[in-house]
Amino acid sequence: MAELFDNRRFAWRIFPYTIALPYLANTSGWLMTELGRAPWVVYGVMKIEDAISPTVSGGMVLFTLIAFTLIYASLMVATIYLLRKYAIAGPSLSEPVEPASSFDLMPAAQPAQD
Amino acid sequence: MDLNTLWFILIAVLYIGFFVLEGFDFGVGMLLPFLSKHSDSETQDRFRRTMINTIGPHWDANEVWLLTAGGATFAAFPHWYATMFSGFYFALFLLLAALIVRGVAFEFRSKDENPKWRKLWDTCIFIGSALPALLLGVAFANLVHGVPINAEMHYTGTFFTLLNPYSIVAGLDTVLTFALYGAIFLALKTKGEVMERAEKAARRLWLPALIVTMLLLVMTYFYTDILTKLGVNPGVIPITGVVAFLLSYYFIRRKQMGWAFILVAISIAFAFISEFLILFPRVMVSSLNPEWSLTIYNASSSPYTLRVMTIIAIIFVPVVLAYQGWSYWVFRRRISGSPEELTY
Repeated sequence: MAELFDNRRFAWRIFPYTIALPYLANTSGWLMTELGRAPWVVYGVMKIEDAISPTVSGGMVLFTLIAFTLIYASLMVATIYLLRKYAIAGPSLSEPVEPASSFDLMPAAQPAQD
Repeated sequence: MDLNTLWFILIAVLYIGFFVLEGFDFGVGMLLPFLSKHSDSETQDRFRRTMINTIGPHWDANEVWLLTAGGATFAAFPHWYATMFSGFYFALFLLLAALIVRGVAFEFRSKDENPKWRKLWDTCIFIGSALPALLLGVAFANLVHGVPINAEMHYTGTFFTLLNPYSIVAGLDTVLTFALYGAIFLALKTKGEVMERAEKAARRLWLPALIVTMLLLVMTYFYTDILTKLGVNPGVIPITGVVAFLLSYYFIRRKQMGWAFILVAISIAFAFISEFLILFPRVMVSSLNPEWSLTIYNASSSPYTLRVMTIIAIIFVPVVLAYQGWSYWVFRRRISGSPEELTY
């Protein structure tokens, strides 16, 4: 395994795809909690059927579920577009890491001169 | 004073804090397409960035007041939360969708040069600011106007029940007042042409905002039970609110925007305090039967929950107030609009 990662070309090819892993882990964790709790919304206290709003129709819930999914899907497309753009551009080495801000209250600490 | 009353006051403070803070950043968002107009697209973009940078470090912290108010409502008065969030379901969906795209738009719009990209997010900022201002005005008017709530605390109306003459005027009032408030904030936080445009916008917006506010005030006597709750003379708080608003014009004309800002902030705060005074001890008025209104007693959670929450609030509210105040102090300078100081 260590030899594989010594081969930098191989590692660099793999790394971009690992960006997806924390998202996968996070989402799987949520799915696990939410599905694993069924049929309870509050474990041992309240069942899902007792928690449903009597005045909100199933159609309405479906509509908002689809709408929120579409909103988040569009945001995901925009995010991937930006991530890709900045990844291809690479780090800009000429700019300081901390952006200089002219409305800083206090001047940045000067490095000690010795 | 019992804990139910304390939590009514705390939630009122959270909502009022939200309107006083987020009011001006909604206003800036609403004014974005209008005050930035310029034949040169680069200058127009710089004006827009200048405007967004005035609220850039603050809008999300301001919005947290709404989340906290919603959270406190859920914990202290679960029946209020359940009836309102189920009853106003579609309206709150629109609110949430608008706030989602607005928040992303501030962060994304300047991250790409493409004019289409920027136009898309600028539209999101405008809609994401104007729509919540309108919806929140409508929603808050309905709490006090009364909506059909039955004996089981269920909302029996539809989305369109929420759109009545009183709530629509209230929605228009929040939109216009927040636009005015935003213009004053911009005049306070910018320099040069953007500042001049904001000063002009404040002068122009004041009268329409006043007219709609007065209309709303008169309608309040017909559409709510202010007469039985506060009386013909509504008392010192609503009157102070109106006087503060009237006085603000003097300072807008003299371009003393700090004073104008404080006065409009007071008028917004006092308008909502007045509303909560009419509401108390109810939290949602039932238009079907006064007996079925939700109150701080029939809608509250257990005394134990209220006690625990009180302790938590006493510890954390001062912390939140301190860091938020500090953020305004750190970013207190005006923004000239030179490219190197524009972060957003």
